[in-house]
Amino acid sequence: MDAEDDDALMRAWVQGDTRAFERLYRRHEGALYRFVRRLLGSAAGTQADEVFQDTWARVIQARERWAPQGAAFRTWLFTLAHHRAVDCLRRSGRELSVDADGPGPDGDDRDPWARWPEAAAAAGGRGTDPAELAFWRAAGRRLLDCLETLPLAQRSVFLLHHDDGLALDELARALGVGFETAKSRLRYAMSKLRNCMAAHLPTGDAA
Amino acid sequence: MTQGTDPDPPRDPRLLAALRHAPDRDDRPPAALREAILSQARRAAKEAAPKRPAPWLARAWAALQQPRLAGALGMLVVAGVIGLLWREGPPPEAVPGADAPTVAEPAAASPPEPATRSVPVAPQPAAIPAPARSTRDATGEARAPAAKQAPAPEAAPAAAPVPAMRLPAPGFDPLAPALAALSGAADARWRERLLQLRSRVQGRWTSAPDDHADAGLPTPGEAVSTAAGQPLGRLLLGDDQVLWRDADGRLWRATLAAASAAPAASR
Repeated sequence: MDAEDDDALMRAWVQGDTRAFERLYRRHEGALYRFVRRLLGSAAGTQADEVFQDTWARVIQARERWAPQGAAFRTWLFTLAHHRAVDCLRRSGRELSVDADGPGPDGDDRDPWARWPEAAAAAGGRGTDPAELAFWRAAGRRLLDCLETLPLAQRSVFLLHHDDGLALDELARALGVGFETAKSRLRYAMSKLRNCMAAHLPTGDAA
Repeated sequence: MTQGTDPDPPRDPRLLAALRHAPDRDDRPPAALREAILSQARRAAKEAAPKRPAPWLARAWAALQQPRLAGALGMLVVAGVIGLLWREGPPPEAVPGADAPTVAEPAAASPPEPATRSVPVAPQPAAIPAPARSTRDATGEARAPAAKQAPAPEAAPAAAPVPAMRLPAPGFDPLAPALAALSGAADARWRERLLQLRSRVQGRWTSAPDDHADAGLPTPGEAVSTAAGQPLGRLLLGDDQVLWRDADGRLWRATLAAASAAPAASR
């Protein structure tokens, strides 16, 4: 999957090829839906479907204005979803300051992974050992909980960078913030998530 | 992708692994939601699809791009237009003498041609000119159909070619030839009346539909002539307008303003 393929499919759909849109949709369906759900968190999860549908509706409405020389389609798509999610949270009053970075990382950030099992850290969760898989599934559950403790601005940057694969300067442009701001938000988010995960996982859920 | 010298920060492998194993990893939108989105996209594409012309029309259009065929088609169109123009007879411009005056007067006696503005008219195959008829219709004046065949002692023959309707140029004065002819001392009475009249209707003259000439009836009003007996025209004063038939037989009309209508009518 690359941006050129997305652009070609988008161009084909603008010309009236509905199958091109279906391919484009199925290509990004899972990742976008997951992004929206994680961004909204469990409290606003019921509105994920609405935000997801609204995002695609914007894509459909804006097809004639879409230009391939702009941002990559995937970046544009996830930015649209981000803005729809922010609107949704503002309407519901759950996120009053979406641009606030919140407090910086606290506690011991020197090596939060020090207490994680060596084998798990080395394998990065790609092994087939049942115990290891169980460990990482617990880590995944824990990570979703930790994500909800982050301010929305840090959560957005972390998810777009780590989960959706956007480069930091690309997502900074898409979100309309400076590179250093985005970098700072990402650093805070990663630090908080490491501390949050390290504080709970090895002692309680691991293996 | 990086910006300038700033490298993209590395992704934390443990956080990445945790994301890959998160319980929502395989979440997908409900099937109904997916179908709703895809249906919306199909509708939008259908609405925006360019309407392609029918194949035969496309082929015809492509054939017209050839100069030879386009030239032949152009010739056909021109011939068709000319044929339509001549369908009911030649246009008046093509008839010799069609623009000649209605009454032929000796060159010495005829006054100078007034400055006029031509108005294009439709072809006139009948003896009764179409422009005059349409003007009458516009003014709402009634017309006696049976009178068309009556003799016209003072007017032009009914079958004679009638000039195209003309509008006088601004400031045109049809009384000028008559005033010029009324130069003698014995003509003072008419000259004074016409001068007085001219001051009241200056700039309001219009070419009038000639009902009487068309119907072959004598024009009402007073005959104006010099003391030597040279006919100059006929004058009819009404309550609010004045009619003047000049020596060439052309009829002119001018409206009288309310203030000037009373003295004119009192005469």
